Amino acid sequence: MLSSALKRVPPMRDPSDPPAIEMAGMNKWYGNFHVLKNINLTVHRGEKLVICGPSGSGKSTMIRCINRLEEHQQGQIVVEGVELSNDLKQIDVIRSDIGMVFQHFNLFPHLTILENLTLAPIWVRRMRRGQAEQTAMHYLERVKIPDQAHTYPGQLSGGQQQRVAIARALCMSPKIILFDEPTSALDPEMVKEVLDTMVALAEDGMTMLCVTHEMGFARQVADRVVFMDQGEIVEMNTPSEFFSHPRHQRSKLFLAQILN
Amino acid sequence: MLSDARTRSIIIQCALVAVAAAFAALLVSTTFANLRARGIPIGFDFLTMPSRIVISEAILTYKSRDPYYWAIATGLANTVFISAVVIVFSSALGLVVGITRLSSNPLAAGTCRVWVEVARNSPPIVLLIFLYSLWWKVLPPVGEALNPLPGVYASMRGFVVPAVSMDVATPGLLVIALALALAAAGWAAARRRWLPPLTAPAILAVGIAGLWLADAKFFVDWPTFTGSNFKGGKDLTPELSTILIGLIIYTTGFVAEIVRGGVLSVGRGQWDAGHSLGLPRGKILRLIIIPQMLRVIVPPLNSQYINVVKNSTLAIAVGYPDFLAVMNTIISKSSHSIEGVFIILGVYLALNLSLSSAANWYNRRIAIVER
Ligand SMILES: Nc1ncnc2c1ncn2[C@@H]1O[C@H](COP(=O)(O)OP(=O)(O)OP(=O)(O)O)[C@@H](O)[C@H]1O
Ligand SMILES: [Mg+2]
Repeated sequence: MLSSALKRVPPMRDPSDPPAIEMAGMNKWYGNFHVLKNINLTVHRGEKLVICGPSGSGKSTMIRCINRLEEHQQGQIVVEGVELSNDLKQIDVIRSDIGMVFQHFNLFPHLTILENLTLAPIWVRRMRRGQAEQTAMHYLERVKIPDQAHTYPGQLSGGQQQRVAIARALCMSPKIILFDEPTSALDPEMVKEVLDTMVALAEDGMTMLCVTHEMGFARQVADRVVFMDQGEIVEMNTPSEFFSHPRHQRSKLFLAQILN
Repeated sequence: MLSDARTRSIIIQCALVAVAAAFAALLVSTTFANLRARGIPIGFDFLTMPSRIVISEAILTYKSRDPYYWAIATGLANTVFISAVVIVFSSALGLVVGITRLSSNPLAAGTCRVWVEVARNSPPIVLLIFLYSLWWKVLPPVGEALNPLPGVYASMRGFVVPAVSMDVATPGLLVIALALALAAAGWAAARRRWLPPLTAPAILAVGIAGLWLADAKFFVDWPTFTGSNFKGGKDLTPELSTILIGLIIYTTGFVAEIVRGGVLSVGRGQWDAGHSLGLPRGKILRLIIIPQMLRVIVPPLNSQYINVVKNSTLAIAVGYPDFLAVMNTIISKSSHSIEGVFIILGVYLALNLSLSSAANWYNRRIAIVER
């Protein structure tokens, strides 16, 4: 158990500041299957959210809607003041401002680590190669693997690959980062190095949404924990409240299952 | 010692080679003895004799006074030309058609699907005969030739297109520049698995600079219509056009399927990663998907290329003198059938083995590094 000394003061907020993400009455179906049901969620700039819930509850689908890797059918999603629509140009612009880290890393296996990091800055941000490489090396140092710049993803361990994936997202200077179970494909001894990188990122004030079952991480960095079940947001609370006094039967059941 | 796996395998292989060689030697010596007994001449001396056969059209310059070996070379050049043109065009078209089949636009995807199904399910010879019969049904006589593009005419007698020729003042310099450009390409390919954006323009620049330094002049000979015929330009006869267009349509169908399989073989996660970085679809294809699918599609693509070489023998159906057709004429004219068959087998074997080794080399080049 982490001590209560880690309790953070919530970030100061100007009420006129638009939220980073706003979902209102959002619904999504896969054919007849109602995956996301009336999602209402506002995420403020600099806020860190941990999303948890049983398998198949729609956590991945929800965060993939935020950068439109999935389309929603009803309701509104507004990211940094821009409503997500079918305008392809605009979607690419919004996506370039949202970093995403995947469960299975999804590095580009045919490119070196450095090329993985510079690809989008060069082709999307139109950055010069030299400058993109400088930025890439900066972030590789931050995730503590600058010496692997010229190797290929297949030559790295899982933990190293996931840290490269985080650095790749950071190279685009995103305003928001989405994590989809970033540690659940890793061997246990590599989980900590990735979580440490994420904690450091959180301390820098990045807006983060993280699907994870690492409850220690949730206690340490989350401002709010969102609990989902069967496509609904069942409960949303500060980590200490959520873990000590879960309000719903389903949350209690879930916590009992993952904490034993 | 015989229990050592490697030694044993070497001994077995040597034994097999020895048996095969002995069998071949027996076959050859018996054949030769029999032929000699019957008074049939055998040997390759005839190759230097004047052939007196007619080759209706050729990429090289050929006259019927030329010796047999030049007739063979002329047929070979025709086959290599057909194969090369078909391979280049059907690769490019197959890439486009294969990718378009996966597009979300139903009309575009459907059109490409029809192409693939027609090409894959019709015997190529039927396609060729059908196309050949179209020349007289669809295209107008020479007097009313269509002019779809400036300098391009189409009529019953085939296409007439502008001819490009080059005159080089100092060929040495050009050779040096081309060698430099090739070396640069080789160096880039050896250093990087995937050519960085600026490599291709740089190589092109070296080539163009070489052309300029060598004072090369290009001449374009535009065809002109004289009322009853064309002057200048280059003729593409109905026969050559049919075999080229037919085989391109046919092969594109197969290449497109291979490309589609290749694109699908790259996991969805790669698209997700590309999209999440803000890369548009076209750039994801070009920078992420195509480079990864190449290593999957090169082996099946190579067998399609080999099929192109083999299918080029269907030229005989429309009367275009490809290598096989020329060899047939040579055999019946010279009655050196054994030698002729050996030459035919040797040439197709050599062509296809070179294609395979080029593909293998390329596949090793682009293999993905793993631990
Ligand atoms: N492309 C799809 N087509 C149809 N159904 C889908 C598709 N993707 C996901 N689903 C379904 O939607 C539901 C939610 O899936 P999702 O991946 O969002 O769950 P999750 O909460 O992330 O689960 P996990 O913890 O297993 O990753 C699941 O029941 C899944 O089977
Ligand atoms: Mg998931």
